[in-house]
Amino acid sequence: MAKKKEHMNLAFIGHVDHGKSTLVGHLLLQAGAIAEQQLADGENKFRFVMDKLGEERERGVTIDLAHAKFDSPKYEFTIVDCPGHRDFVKNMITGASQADAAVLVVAIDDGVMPQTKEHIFLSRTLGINQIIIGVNKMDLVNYDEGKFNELKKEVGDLIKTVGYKPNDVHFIPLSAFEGDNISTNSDNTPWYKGPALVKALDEFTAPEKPTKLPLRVPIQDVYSITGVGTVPVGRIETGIMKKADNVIFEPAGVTGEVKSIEMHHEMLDSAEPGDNVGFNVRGVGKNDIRRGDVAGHPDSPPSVAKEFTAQIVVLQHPGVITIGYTPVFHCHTAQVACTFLELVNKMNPATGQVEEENPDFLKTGNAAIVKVKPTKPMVIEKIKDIPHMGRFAIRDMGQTVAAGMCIDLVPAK
Amino acid sequence: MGDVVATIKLMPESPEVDLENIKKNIEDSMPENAELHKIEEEPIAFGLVALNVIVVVGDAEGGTEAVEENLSKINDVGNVEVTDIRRLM
Ligand SMILES: Nc1nc2c(ncn2[C@@H]2O[C@H](COP(=O)(O)OP(=O)(O)O)[C@@H](O)[C@H]2O)c(=O)[nH]1
Ligand SMILES: [Mg+2]
Repeated sequence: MAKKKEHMNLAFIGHVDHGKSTLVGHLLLQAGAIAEQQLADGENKFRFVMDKLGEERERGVTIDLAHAKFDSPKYEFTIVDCPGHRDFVKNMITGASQADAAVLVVAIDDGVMPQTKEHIFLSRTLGINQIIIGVNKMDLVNYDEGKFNELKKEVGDLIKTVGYKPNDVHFIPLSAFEGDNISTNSDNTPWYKGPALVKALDEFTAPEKPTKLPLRVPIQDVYSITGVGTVPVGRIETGIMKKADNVIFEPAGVTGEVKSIEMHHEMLDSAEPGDNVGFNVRGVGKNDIRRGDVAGHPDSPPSVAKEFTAQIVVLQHPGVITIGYTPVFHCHTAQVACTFLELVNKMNPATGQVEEENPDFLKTGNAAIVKVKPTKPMVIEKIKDIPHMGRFAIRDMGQTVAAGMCIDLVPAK
Repeated sequence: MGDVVATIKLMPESPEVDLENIKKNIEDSMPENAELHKIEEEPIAFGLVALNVIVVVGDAEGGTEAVEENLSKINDVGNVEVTDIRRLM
């Protein structure tokens, strides 16, 4: 019997109009996900098919397509074409569907654009450690090797600044229109010796479930259920929770015993990362804990921060950010206002180099290291200890103004 | 500008709530910029059943904000969380 393929969530990112949707469409088409649309003469009928789809497809079909799976020889991929607008960044950080890898699409005729930079920063913040660079629209420059190499150098320098290693990353010359280098190497780019996109996807490593990290369960809701007792509900981010475990909730500081765990209305003896569970705890009242608290084991309890140091990127702010600014940080299920205590330095997002120590202010487009103080106790973890618990979005005036990660913290106790 | 499909999870206030009534209220609570696609029940634990609301909104300013706000005002709905977002082709 065929072994079930491992699954990966693959995000498509890049500046608007660089060809993400077209590329995703092409992958799905080749994978047979757009089955009813027959292609007569292979891939270069693609433009025609996309147009046809645009006219005729029903909403239900498009929605199903957006959730379609694509099989490479090795993996089963779910493809996520990321929204372009910044107001969705909050959902990408606090929502459940974490991308395991990304394809950054850069069009050869347009080059590195503001959103290209922003998405590179964001993907790092979102914990996406594996990336492929798709240099798209090669047909517009006659598949010119020199132009490809210029852009490759530029994007390579950019991704290096956030810690990707350009030498380990595939840069693939593509035409999402013509289908070059998507499933097989194209005759139009004889100078390109690397793998086609589908082959490169198979070089990704499937993520391991973070079962060895300390237990962290951000609480979504707390119920008092007749005949059962107190039931917190949440998703296991890291570690394993077993029946009869003692758990501590922070910042509430209360402990209890896990009497039973359920998922999909079925009893579990233990729950692991990704499981959405409700668990009955003895010794904890409904009003002792609340949304935003985090459950862990008492021997490695969730970290409550008095202050923390963060690396942020300012996505959109109508004015400037200065010391004293107190927007709301959305981190796991918690929403806590935090005050900017210190602007440590400002970096050039294009080079990653420190541009200014102790700047007076930050504005849209800036990347920076800052120190902040939560206005009330809050659980957050250092990104290098428990990456799943170290990311946040910063919201103010109904907008996502920045995104970032915790790189250091001062414990509250 | 494209469209974005969002999955929004509604947790009930208790296991005893009338899910059919909530579903009806969801239909009535869609803001102008949002299009309801479907509502799926997801059993959680100890009798609690969540509703996953699948809606389409523009890839534009505000994101899912207006839908989230309206949904969270519905009677018997505890909290509301966007669990998935992706663009439509
Ligand atoms: N010439 C050429 N045009 C392309 C290619 N890929 C996409 N396009 C066009 O570029 C525009 C933007 O594409 P789209 O996929 O919507 O970009 P997105 O905004 O990144 O999703 C559309 O008009 C596409 O037809 C390509 O490989 N070559
Ligand atoms: Mg598009």
